[in-house]
Amino acid sequence: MAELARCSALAGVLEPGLHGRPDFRGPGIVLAERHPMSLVEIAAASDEVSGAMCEEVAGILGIRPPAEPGTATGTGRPRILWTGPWRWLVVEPESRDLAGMLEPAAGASRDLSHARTVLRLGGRDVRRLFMKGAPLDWHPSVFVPGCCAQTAMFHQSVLVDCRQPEVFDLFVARGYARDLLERVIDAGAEYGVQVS
Amino acid sequence: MIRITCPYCGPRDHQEFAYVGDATLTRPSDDAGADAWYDFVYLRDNPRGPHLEYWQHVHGCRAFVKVLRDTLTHEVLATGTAADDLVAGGR
Repeated sequence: MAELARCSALAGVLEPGLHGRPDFRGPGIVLAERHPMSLVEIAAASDEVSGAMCEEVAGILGIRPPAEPGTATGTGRPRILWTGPWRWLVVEPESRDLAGMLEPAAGASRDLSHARTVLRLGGRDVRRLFMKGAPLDWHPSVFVPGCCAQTAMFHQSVLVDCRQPEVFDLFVARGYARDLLERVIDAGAEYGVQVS
Repeated sequence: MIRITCPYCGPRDHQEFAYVGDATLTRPSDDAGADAWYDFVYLRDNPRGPHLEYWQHVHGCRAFVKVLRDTLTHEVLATGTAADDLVAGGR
């Protein structure tokens, strides 16, 4: 059987360039797609199974899934994001068979690498952009690195991961990636969006 | 704008939630008969005041949330997980 190519949902859409009208300081938002990424969802259905699963995942990856809702652990290879009760998303740039590694005896795992598009947004105005699009407290003293949140951003379900005070990863369902991109560029026009 | 405190995510705007339905109903047994099932599936009270209802945090953690909401003022009086027993007085 022919090998299927990993193709970005934004291939041919995301073109480097400057959008909107930045002020004299330059673009307030920088945007890039992170691709290809490995994303694996792990889930359990009880405290007991969840505990065993987390133990096992910690043994495999060296990083324990965060117990606290709305937080993430790991520095990126991999990073584990809390996405719901007894549910986490394990994320890293594609380099190894993460889905294969994470077939724990306890719980369930599902490869979502093909199902999500990851955008990296940064810049001095990125929190202002989020304020326009999602009803969360985006103050730098509240939504700090290590926080993640799922919310409705520009009317779409988006998982936001704060990596640095002004750097965020946005996870969106693949089919909505193009729409989210357009809305982000539209909303960011007043700050200037540098796409790379 | 209603703010609903998700038991996992904390206070969030109601636009992240979907209304699911009346949380005061009890599912009848399978052999309860047509009348009981008709009542369960179709008939609802329309209370003025505190009402116990299910919401789902669809854009957040996807969890079902039990909400005690005043239908007159939209004030959210209590929230909890779907299994939680909120303050009596939903009806």
